[in-house]
Amino acid sequence: MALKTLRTTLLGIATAALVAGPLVYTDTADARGGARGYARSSVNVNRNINRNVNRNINRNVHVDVDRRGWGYDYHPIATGVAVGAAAAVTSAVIGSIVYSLPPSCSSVIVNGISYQQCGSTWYQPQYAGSNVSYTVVNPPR
Amino acid sequence: MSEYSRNRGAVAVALLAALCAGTALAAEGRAGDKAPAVEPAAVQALEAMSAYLRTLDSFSIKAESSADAVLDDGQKVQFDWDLSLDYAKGKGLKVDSVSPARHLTYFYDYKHLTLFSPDLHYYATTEAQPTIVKTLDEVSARYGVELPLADLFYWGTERLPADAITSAQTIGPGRVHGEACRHYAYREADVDFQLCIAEGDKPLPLKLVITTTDQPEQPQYEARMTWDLKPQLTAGEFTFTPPPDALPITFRPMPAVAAGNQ
Repeated sequence: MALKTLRTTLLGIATAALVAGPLVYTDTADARGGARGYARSSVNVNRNINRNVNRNINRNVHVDVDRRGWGYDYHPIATGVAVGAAAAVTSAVIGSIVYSLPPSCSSVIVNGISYQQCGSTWYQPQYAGSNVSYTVVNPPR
Repeated sequence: MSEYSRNRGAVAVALLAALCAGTALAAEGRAGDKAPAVEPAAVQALEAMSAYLRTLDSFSIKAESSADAVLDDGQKVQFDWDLSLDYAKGKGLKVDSVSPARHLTYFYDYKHLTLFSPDLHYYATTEAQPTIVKTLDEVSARYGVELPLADLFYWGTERLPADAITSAQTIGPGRVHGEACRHYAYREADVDFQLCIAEGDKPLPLKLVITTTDQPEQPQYEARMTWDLKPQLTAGEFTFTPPPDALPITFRPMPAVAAGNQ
């Protein structure tokens, strides 16, 4: 499927979702939303650097708040941040990031990097902090 | 210790908070707002623990830990998981973190740091710095990865600024996993922490509580530790060898780093 077609299709889905309400496509996604803060797990790590960085990041990029190293791979608190109503609508746009996959994906390794192919959508899993995140990418070749 | 003798009012605040929480009624040896904000004995206990940690060539720890998340509506919820940590000076560090929702294993062998998710089969490896502290700093700053119980490797290193502690006090006797310890409370600019340090000639931290005070809900982290100072560690355990079904992935850089504006 050509990328343009895919995008058009996804746009259609997104529009439908906007009308019909949240598009929640995994068991772990949860309309309750996510967490806005986490306990620090260290007194000393990056005493002088990281705290300011984290503050700035937290202010600007809500989904990156959970990089503290103890979040959840499956729990709605981890996934709900990114896979709430708003995020789900745009979740299959190239470059968007989600924290859980739709069902029935298969793992593919291309040039030493793992991908998840879920239907016609490809995701690149990465560690975001100690969470696994999935970035929607063009099909690798 | 003159650098510790500031913020005298902090002790009164800390005492009031402790009394309101119904704890620390057995607090020892000081009262009133004339008490020094930084009690030398409490600082010495932290320094003795820190120095002792740096003398250890190897250890294993089993710990139960928990941490609060603050939900969007402000409610705090607490999660629990089990930790096991193996360390051998010059060989490496391995930390396994297990809960029903997540299993993670961190490997550090002085050359590489690997994060492995046994349940999801993912792993990512990055080149490491030649010391644990530098490596922990780097992966935290670059990737937002923080290893559990990292503080055990910072205390006693020269990078801890002497004046970071604005309040220190002895709370009293404590007990963790049936072992006697002494309970201390410390404050820094944006974090409070408590330690219960084992009595006797092996001043190990048996309990660590960290309160994040720069968030209004003040979420807490806690770990209760059991130590083994003569662990049977195998030389190869600190180097990650991918299982056949393992899936190589990468660490996503922190946005500030990626944007080059850190």
